[in-house]
Amino acid sequence: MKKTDSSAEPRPSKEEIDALLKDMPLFDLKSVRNTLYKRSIRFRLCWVVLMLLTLSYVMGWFSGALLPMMASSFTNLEADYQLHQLRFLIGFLMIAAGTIAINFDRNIEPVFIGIFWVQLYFHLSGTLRLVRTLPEGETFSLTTYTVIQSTILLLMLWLIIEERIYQRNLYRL
Amino acid sequence: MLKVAQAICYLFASLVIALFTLILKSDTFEPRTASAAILSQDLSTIRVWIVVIGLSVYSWRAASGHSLRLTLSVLTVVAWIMFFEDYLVLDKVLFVAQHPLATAVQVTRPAFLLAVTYVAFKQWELEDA
Repeated sequence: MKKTDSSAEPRPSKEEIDALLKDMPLFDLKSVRNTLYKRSIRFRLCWVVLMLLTLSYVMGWFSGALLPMMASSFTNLEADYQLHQLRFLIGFLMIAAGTIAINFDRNIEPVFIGIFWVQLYFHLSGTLRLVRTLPEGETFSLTTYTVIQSTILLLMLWLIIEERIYQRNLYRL
Repeated sequence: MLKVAQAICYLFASLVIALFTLILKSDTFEPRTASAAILSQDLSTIRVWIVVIGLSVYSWRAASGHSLRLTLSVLTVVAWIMFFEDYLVLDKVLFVAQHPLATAVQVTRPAFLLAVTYVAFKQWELEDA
């Protein structure tokens, strides 16, 4: 029986593999930028503001500035803190999902609609939690939370509308 | 298979609505602290509304022949997130009710999650075809 010698098979060089993978969106970080440049300036503006909000949120979280405004600071309940951590993680997963959709330029509208509804659930339950736990006269935390969350929701809604307009125009062409 | 999965979803939604109606009306559950009680009450209220609204929107869209895939995807994602919240965090806060309805909800929940995920994927497949 004839044995096949795998070492004798021609193998692509590193340069050839790099050349093959160059045009694949998964390995090309410029794809997000390319997709964004195809969209309207309002879409890009929404995305940039959303990213800036996320960045400032992370900075606020790690600097400890957000801690006094969280429900767990008023209730001293571990579950509140853990719930926030879990939602923080889900938030980043949602950003990752949105970025992947933009990177591949596929299903952007459905992905952001899904993110919008999850964010709405977080917003409603979070606001209700703050309303029920905040001490009398403490409105700053509630106002800040509501304004930030509503801004995120409005930006996402705008992003979805812009994507729908883009897809409609593309379809007409 | 799709019909069975849809039936599981409807069954679970009915059980949840029945259970939370019972909980909110009877006030018989025993969370660990007063703050935990408020947390579980608030989340229960929001969730039962999500189930009611989700079920109504799904039924209405199904009856009127509209596209269902996005509605189902959103409901699936929210259902999974609620499950993670319950499993990772709220398990320590919420009571374990001894009522048969609560047991039925706990038992059927994994089946519901699988069923709703299957229905969502199947719906995308059907509407793409």
